[in-house]
Amino acid sequence: MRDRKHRQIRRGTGRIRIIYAVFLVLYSLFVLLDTFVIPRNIVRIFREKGIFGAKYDPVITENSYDDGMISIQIRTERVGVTTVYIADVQLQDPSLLKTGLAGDSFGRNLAEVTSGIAERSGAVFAINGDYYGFREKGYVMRGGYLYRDSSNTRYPYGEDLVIREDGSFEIVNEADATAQELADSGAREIFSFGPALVNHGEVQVFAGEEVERAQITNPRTAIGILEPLHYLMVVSDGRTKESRGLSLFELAEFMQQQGCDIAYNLDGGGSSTIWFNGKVLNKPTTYGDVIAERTISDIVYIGY
Amino acid sequence: MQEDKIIRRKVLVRYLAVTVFCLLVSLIYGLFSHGIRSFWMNWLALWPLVLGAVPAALSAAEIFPFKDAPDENGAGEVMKDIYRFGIAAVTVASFLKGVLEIAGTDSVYPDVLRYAGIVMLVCGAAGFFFVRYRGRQRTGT
Repeated sequence: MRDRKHRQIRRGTGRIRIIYAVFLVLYSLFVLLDTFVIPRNIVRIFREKGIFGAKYDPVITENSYDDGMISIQIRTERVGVTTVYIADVQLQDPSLLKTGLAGDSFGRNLAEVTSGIAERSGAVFAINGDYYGFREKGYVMRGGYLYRDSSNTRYPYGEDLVIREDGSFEIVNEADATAQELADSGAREIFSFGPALVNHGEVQVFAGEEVERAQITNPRTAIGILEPLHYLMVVSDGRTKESRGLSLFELAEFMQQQGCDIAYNLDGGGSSTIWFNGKVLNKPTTYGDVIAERTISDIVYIGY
Repeated sequence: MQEDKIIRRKVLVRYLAVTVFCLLVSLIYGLFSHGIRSFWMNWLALWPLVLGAVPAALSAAEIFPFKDAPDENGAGEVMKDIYRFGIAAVTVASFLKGVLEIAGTDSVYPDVLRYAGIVMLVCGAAGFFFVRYRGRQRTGT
């Protein structure tokens, strides 16, 4: 009697085990789709045309641009075994430093290649942004509009770059101010990848520090400010035989040596892309085998 | 009794097999993650080992409280299943969290699964011991 009852229980629990196993598989599929595929929280943006135009017809070469309002000089350097692209950008107005979003929309799992966003935005020059769309938290403000105010203070996140209306930079910790407070204080753009590389001329990362899950040497993207309306945008190739990549510390030292007062680490790895005058200048790669742009959620660009 | 011993050893072997499988998954994923590490992926094999194989080893060695207490209505088996569901939930949640962390992103859903797993572990373990304790009290074993 007891054995029969136990057999019945086992048969019943056997079915429940199968149902539970199927549930776990479906739950896992849902999590992966929700994280990597399904677009959501979509907010369409409306890009306003700037009030400024060029002072004169642009003088464009393979690595420079000058139209009286925007001056860009691009050079390539070898830092050890790494190729680094440096864009020296000088503007006559802070509104010419802009950001663009994939599909002209804010949302999770919305992605587009840097060149696509740049061309649609009418950019002269662009680099990838902080790929906010890959994370659930962290302040996101673009073009003066606050899209996300949930704070992410878990290391290494929490250190944000704030670009103000006057084009100045500030490093702010999300634990010290809410997104709304930053918006009220005149922020125009807020990036939440990080960390800060240089602040007040001093290197902010230590040797061996990494963005949590990143490799030690990586393709990198960084943005810095030397003086008012004078910016440096740097992209390094990596993960290939020709270009190993930079550690965060090496990147920070490089930005400091270039004279940056403030410099900030944007999304690197396969996202690192520098685009100028219709062409991708660097060799973006995720695993080092295929050279191709990765789709990302946002860019920083120079344009009208 | 001999049959019970054989069953307990089979359970131990299954947990060890799951542990080894999780270890292989963790190692193989680590090979393709290009140096990117996650605590949840690194220690994936810990959950079936500590939560499953260790208690199963104690049970197989008959170093277990109430080991001779009867389970007349099979409630103990149900509690064991709830406990096993908890191990599965915690392990799958650890894998998902590891995948997301290595990719550089996050989601609340692996945490939800992990907390559900912990609840199942606690309820299953507590329920199992309660059933066995009651059984022992009733029969005086």
